[in-house]
Amino acid sequence: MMYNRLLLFFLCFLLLFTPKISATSSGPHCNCEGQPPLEKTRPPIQGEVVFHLQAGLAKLGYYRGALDGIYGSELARAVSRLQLDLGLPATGNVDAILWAYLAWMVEKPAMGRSKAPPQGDISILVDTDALILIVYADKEPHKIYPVAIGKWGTPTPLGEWVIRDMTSVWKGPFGARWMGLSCPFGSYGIHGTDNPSSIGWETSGGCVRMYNHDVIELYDWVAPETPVTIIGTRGYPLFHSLGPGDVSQSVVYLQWRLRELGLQVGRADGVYGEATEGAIRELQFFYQLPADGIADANLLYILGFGGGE
Amino acid sequence: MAAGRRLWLLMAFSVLLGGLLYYFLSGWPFYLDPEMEIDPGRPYTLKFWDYPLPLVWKDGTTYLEFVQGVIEDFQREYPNVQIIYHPLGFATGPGELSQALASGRPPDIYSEPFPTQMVHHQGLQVPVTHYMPPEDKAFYHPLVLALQEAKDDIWAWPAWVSPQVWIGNRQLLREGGLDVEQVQTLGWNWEDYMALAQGFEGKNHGGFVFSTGSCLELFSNLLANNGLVGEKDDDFPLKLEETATLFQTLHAEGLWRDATEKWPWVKEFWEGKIALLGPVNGWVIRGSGVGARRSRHCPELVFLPPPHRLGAREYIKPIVARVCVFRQRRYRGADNVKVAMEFARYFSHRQGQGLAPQLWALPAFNSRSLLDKENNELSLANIQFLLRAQNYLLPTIIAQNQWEREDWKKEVLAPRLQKLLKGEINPREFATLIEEELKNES
Repeated sequence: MMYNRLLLFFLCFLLLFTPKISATSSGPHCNCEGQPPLEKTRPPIQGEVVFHLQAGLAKLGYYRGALDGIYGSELARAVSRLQLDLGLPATGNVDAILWAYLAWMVEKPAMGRSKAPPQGDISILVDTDALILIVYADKEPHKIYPVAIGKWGTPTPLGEWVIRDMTSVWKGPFGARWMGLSCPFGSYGIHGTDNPSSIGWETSGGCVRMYNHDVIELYDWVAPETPVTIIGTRGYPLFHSLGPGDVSQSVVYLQWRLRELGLQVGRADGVYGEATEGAIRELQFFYQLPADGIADANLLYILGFGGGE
Repeated sequence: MAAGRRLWLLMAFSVLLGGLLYYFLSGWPFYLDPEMEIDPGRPYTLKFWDYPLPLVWKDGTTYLEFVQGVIEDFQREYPNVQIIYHPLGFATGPGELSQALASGRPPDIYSEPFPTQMVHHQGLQVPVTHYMPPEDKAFYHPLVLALQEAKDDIWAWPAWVSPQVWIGNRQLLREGGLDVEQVQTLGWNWEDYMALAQGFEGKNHGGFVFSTGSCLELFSNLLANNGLVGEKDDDFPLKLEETATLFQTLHAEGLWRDATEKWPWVKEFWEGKIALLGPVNGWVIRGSGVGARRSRHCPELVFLPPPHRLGAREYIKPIVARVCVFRQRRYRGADNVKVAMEFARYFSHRQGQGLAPQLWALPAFNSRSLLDKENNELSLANIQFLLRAQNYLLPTIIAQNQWEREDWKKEVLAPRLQKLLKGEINPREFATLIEEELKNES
């Protein structure tokens, strides 16, 4: 119990100071939502979040009721018991501190045992189909982690990014660590979570979520500019022309296709820059189309996107 | 003191002698000896410049992997030959070559899918004439070899030939009343074309005949097939006024549409909304329609020659990819040239065999081998048409003049064609203006 209280104190410390850090810098931000505060009401609150709470408390032995997603009296009593054990006021309500504690306590370890830090050039591959993150050392797989990725409506951006900013403070939905990605069409990152039961599902706002134990380990192995490639089959067809200056997920698909054809596009970073324009001109020259550097409906169709305005 | 002076004099003499030796040896007369044997004990290093084509084979092999495989196969036979591959960009490659030639250090082998001129350098480009075994020569179509000839020499190894044909939707063309087989065999003229196109307009069943080339491309095509070829060279053989009249009529009656307009003609063709595309690069059609070709409703493709004038035969503009050989200004010996020739010959054969099916083109060497290729995407009728088309390739004399110069076409021809289309000048005035330009050029 002493360990739990120390852990709670540590989490409280992080939560108290995080807003100050956020206020003084742009800080990490994305579309991911943290777990909301919960309290016993009439009629009782229902939903997936309550289910996660029940599951977490059941795993820790505080709750033995039905996993029905209803915030009933038994659940409120279980919350109170936990609060008493942690030396907190027994309100029966769940706040950010309690969510953080639950997240920490119910996590599963990563696939495979903890390993020594990787040596050599470190890179990361996220496979959104398999819902895993692989750390590579000198192009050899070093360790695999389970992750959560974006929902259908807020997909995880596929492409070749690098880590830009790194933060080691606990912040609600980001959990224990945040590693921001260089994606130019939105703010996305690899981070921990206050909802470990979401790992292995498509539930995030587009970020790559990891268990907090895992993200802490990973955080120490990487640095800004570490390459992060995100692949997957989920995507959407290109329905419009693309040209210099465009920045989008569609540009990544275009860059990957051009590279498959052996053209030089540099990193598939979603930016229709000089390299992409040059590759399109090469392709237009080859097909003897007007070499204007714009991927119009015809060229996109030739490239197999089946688009067209 | 005297010893010091002697030392200075000796040094000055050495420098002078070194300079003279360099001057004379760098321009040392060279000799070519096709009979020269390649020395198996001597290491050779060849610089090989090439344009990586954006192609991927069905098994996932990329063009660069294909080239690497060819080089490795060659090196199995000649393990003492090192080949340094240098990929070029289509836009920057010709400039790189010009610079290298000017400095006297060109690549030993230069592969070009879109040749820009017959002879890149009079002194450094080595003709292949005497290196081509007679038994090899018999496997090339005479017109394909003729396209590499100038001043009684053959200047490069032809790799593959792509006759620029028109591409149609067989079903729609039949519905339009065209005897496809007859046109493939005997050709057709502009009157046939216009009757077909007007028929589609009247039937209004969704099938159109469109020319997809830019107005420049169409005009060149019209000109080549409306009286340019076979006339005398010293007066103006170009039937400019007649061609301009036909061009104006096609435009006025809506019987062609400029491909530079932003409309999805590739997609519409695969969706069966367009009956005929031409002049068009067949690779555009080959490269696209992957999904369409898997569906049951995929149009059956048919290759057709461009229409010509009444009583004549069509001329088909070809792309002949080729491989050239250069020597260095600082000559490295007849055996070095021989080994470069050997690789150029080998590469041109392998490239022709490997790429032609990918590009819906013909291998320049032994073009009939295309008939034996398994899993060929082309129908037998279309392959046979391509083989016949070799008999009507546009002669070199046309491909060499200013009609093929991009800058001339854009700066001189295009503005006058626009005036013609807008009705600001009539065909006669157009012809006069172009003739004046040609006179000024000459």
